[in-house]
Amino acid sequence: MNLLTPTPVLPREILFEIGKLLDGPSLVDCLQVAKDWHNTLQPLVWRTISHRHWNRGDFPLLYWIPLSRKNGPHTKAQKQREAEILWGLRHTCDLTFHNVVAIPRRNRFHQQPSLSVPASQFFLTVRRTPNLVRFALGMVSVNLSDHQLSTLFKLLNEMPKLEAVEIILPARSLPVLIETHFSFFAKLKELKLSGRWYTGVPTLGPIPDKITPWKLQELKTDRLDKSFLPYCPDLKGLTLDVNGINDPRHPVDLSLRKKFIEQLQELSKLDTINLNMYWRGQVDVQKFVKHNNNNEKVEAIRWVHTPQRVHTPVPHRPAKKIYAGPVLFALKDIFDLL
Amino acid sequence: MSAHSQILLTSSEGTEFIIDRDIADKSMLLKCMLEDIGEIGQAVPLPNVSGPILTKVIEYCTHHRDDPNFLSANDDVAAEIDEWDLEYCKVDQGTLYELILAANYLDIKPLMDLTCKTVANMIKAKSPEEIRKTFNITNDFTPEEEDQVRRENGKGSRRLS
Repeated sequence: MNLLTPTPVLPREILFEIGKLLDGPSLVDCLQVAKDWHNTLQPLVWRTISHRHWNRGDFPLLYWIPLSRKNGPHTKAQKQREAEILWGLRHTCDLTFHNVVAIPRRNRFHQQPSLSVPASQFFLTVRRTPNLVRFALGMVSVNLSDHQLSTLFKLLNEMPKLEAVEIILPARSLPVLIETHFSFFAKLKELKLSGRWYTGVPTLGPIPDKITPWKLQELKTDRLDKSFLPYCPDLKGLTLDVNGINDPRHPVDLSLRKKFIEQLQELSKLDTINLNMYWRGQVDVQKFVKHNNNNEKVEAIRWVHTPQRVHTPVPHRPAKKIYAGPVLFALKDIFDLL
Repeated sequence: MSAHSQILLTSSEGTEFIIDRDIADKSMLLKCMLEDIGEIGQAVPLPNVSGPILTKVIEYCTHHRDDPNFLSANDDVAAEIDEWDLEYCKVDQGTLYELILAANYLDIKPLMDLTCKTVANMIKAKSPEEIRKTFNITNDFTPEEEDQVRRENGKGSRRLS
């Protein structure tokens, strides 16, 4: 130990251990600290996905990977860098995107650096990750077009190892997707679906006839049709995230919730049911009690402590501006595919 | 010194520490050594660990003496650090580094996790400049290199929030 320096230098292997505990954005900051840190921590960028607590609860967020056709690679260093990125993507098993937009916004209202990932970039990245096991996508600001969504599902469908998917979908496209990509959903073990909370709550089911049972073990959704459950014989855990229900703009009939609780009581083979906190106090859910094999009562509902959403007023936008981006971009994406 | 329950350790300065066998067993290094060669009644020299740090380590092991989950792998990064541990880690940076090194050397995984987590928390949500200041690191990037790293890796935590 060097007594001359007041703080001894961290050995590389210990720095590496520390790096494993960091989330993505912090890791990126660390890369810029010094050369030694850069060289030590660089491999970790590909190893970890970043779980950053975002205001939507525990939705993991990966700051997106720069991968661009337009700007290179030109120099030798850039080419090497791209090879590294591609290698990293091939070995990525966990990918999270947030805020994929059709066209990144560049206007005077949008002064801050944009966090959004343009769809083309997003697809470039997803195409290069054949070994994905988990995939998560939050779409928040601008919806992708239906065409782009089905392209995405086509891509995901070709990944042999994929087990878990978490997607925030525009509510309009959910029923379509369920119907058209049944074979895709059928092979997943974990599925988390939710709609944009102010556009309404998507419902899973009813299910078309003659399908093979799903392999799902974990399911998270906003609302569930009772008829859906027989198709998931392996289902162990169910999470119901009923975001939209407390939204004053979409009041939901209390009798509907009561009916829903009655449906829940038939799911006695499930291990856990997580319900969102918004429900507490409104409906008497405590009635739902699960019996185990010895016919003893078991508490089967676990409350998820989600903080109550604070309604911030929607900023006024001039009504004239109509967003025509998705259509244009859908075209561009077709060309991409060709 | 009773042969079966107590172990004698010497730190780098030659200070002697007498600890119970079950406390020594928290360290994989000592445990394996004692299992391999048996308790010979001689002092075990630890040339890489100084006296004050060894005191600190023994304090940790003594507090977690009866902890049943001590060696079970705790991979949960987000797990809360309990209050005693938090207080335990409130030391100056030099001591913290030396604790990490000692935990690494003695192979005490929970202590290693705890101290690494503490350092990781110090790094989180800081800009590269702040990290350099905290850890007393000189920036050896040239401005061009720094710019390139920034371009290649996109945005850090600061610009995300």
